[in-house]
Amino acid sequence: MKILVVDDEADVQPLFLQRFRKEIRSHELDFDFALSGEEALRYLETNHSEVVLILSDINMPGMSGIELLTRIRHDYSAPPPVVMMITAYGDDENYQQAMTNGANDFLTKPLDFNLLKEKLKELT
Amino acid sequence: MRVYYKFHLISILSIFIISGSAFCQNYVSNAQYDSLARELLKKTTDAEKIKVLQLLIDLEPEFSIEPPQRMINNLDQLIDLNNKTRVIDEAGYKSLRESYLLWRNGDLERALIGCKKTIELFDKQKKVMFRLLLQIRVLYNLLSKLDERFKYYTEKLNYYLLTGQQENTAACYHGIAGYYLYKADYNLAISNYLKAAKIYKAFDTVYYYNAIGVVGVTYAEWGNDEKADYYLKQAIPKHKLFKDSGNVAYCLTPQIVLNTRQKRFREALNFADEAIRFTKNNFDSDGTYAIMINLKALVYLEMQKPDLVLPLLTEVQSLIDRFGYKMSSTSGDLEADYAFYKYYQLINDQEKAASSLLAAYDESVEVDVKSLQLKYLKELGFFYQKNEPALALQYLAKYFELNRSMEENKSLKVAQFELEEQDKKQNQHITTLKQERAVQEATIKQRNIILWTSLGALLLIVASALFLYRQLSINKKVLASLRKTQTQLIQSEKMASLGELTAGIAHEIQNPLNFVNNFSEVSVELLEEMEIQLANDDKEEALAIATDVKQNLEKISHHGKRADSIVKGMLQHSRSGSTSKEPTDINALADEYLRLAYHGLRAKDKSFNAELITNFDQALPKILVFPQDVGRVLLNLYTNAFYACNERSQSAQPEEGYKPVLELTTSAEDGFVVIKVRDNGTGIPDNIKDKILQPFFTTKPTGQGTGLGLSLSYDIIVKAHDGTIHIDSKEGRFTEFIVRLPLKV
Repeated sequence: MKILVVDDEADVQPLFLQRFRKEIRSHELDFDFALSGEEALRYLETNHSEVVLILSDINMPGMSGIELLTRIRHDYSAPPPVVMMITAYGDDENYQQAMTNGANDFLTKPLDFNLLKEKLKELT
Repeated sequence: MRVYYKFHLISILSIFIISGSAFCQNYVSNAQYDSLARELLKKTTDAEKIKVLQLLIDLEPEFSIEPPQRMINNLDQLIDLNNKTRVIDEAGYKSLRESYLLWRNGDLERALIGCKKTIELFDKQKKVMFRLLLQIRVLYNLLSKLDERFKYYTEKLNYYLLTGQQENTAACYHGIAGYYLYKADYNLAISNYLKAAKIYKAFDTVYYYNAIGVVGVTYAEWGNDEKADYYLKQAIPKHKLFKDSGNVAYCLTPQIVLNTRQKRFREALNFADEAIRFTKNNFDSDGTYAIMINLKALVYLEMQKPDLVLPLLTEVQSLIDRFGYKMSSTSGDLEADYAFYKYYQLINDQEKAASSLLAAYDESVEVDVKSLQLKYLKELGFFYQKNEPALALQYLAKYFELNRSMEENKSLKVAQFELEEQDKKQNQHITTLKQERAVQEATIKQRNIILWTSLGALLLIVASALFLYRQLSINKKVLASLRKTQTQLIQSEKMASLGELTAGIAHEIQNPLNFVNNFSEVSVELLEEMEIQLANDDKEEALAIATDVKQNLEKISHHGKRADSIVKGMLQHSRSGSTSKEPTDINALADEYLRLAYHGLRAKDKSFNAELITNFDQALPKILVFPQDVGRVLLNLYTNAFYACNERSQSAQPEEGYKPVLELTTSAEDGFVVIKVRDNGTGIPDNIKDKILQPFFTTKPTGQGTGLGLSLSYDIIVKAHDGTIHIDSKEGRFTEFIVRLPLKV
């Protein structure tokens, strides 16, 4: 299962790779990364069919996570990828905004990787 | 019309006794008085009333018996009004009122002292009161103090010649002239009347013709009929014109006397009748009418017509009985007893003639009129010559004795030439005195000017000094309080921007903390895995894990430091005083605050988004700045830029596709580090471009901005760092703030 992680923090990449070290080794999961919403959209242009799940930060310079979500829901309907939004601001407004724009789930930082792993298991 | 006047009777042998002038109550002065009295009723303010009352008092026509009640009323009213308003110095008027009340009560001695004191008071105020001055001679006459009168007017004359009060000198000449008339010194009497007349001419026509009339009558008395005619012809028409009936009658007396003497009785009677016609309405107030009737009787006596004399004398006697006229009064000489003597002689009643003549003589002694005494003593001598020569001799001896004493009293035993020389000398003396006085006054004036000017200057200097001192102390206080306020304002601006930062800081700290936590947790997992690998002797895998763990620890350390620097920055930012300049990486500082600003704004407004473009000159050297101060400036610039972008995005139409962009550029140019913060927001309108660096200027709605951000930024960059801030902006397109900081301090 290919997962695209969108976050402006570059250190998110080694973190995910280590956290899902076993899953990657066993080829259960495959990760790709984008540092901004724009980069994510460019990536999806060529790889959208492979990508099953998109994990995106909301607060990013430039295109925000919500905007990215809206574009994904608009451009890629078949099959629609699963989109989970991640934010440090776990407030109600952020949550509502994410869900109305078509997010499948909403996670808050700091990320609980155990919780995320369980959610991924449900998907597979 | 009541007329008071001084009447000079010229009977055949009479000489003038009392004063030299007819009184001046006449049509003109009465009309003037009446119109002023009407004016008084129209005045509403106290000050105006006081003015008119003063004039009424000053213009009160002369009186021969006592001050009229209206004079007292006017004085009462004036003093009463002035008590409330204090418009004038009332001392003179108060003294005048007291004096006149004494006069009315018959205390003439004290009235005289009071009037003289009143004149002194008005003299002090330099107020001309020539009518009052003249009025005083009436008091002297009533008191028969003729020598004192002469002395008084002479002294006053010298004083007024020095002060230059012309009107008052006229009154003095007038008063002196009357004295000489009493002394039968016609020469000096006329000289002084003419001096008075010359001065009167300049300011009072009525008084002028009054004096001219007296001169005429005096010439007649002296025996110069031609001169008498010359002056009387001028005076009589004017007296008639002024309806000055007393003076008309007075001026007619020489005609009556002259014509009688020349046996032209018809003319004499015509003039007498005219005089009676003019005065017949006034017999209740003074003796003028009685004097005229008596004169007419004397004409008939010369005509030897006793049957015509008797009714006239009976009328005179009844008037005397009714009003108590005296032989000599301010109205002139009323020689009723003398006329009776003549009458009894005519009808050959020697006994009654003798008793009448003796009565006349006794009264003349009583009133102390020496000229009449002489006349009657002489007559007594003639009367007793035939039948009682011893008695006649006795009276004649008295006559010569009196005559001798009078001649001795006469100061005039000097030739006119010498008198004129004396006059000249006195004039010279007065001129010298005047000049000395003028020089003295000029010196005093000059000295006073210098004194007052110096005093003024001194006061001004003292006042300025005091003012300056006060201003200085006020300024000091104001400055201190301003400094305090400024500090508070800066602090509150810091706290405001700290508020803006808090959310951003929370986010910024949250991220590194997450990494610290996550990398720690994953490292523990990795180490557990490594333990298993080592147990399995999978050395290669264990080494790979060790590399990861090492990398993670570096990450942990990095994010820990990141959080640390954010917290430190926050503390520095809120700290009141600047510490010291530190070598600072401007790129890092600018980047850090950009993130803080951005996330701070987003924390408040989730819908806000902006593209952040950073063009850092990586070769930028560290420069010495107050990092927290420069950070605050940058934060302020970013916040403003985001605000402008947000404003524009809210007003922009969706089809415009407006995307907020903030571009941060650093570079090194001409010895300066240049930081450019450019946004594509609303831009700054031209009309406020030069205002935005002023304190308290803000375009933000009330409560959203302190208006201090940019002005403090200006202070920090320009004053604390010797840098510059420039603004480039196009309304509706962009704003660029260019901050230059010197590379070397």
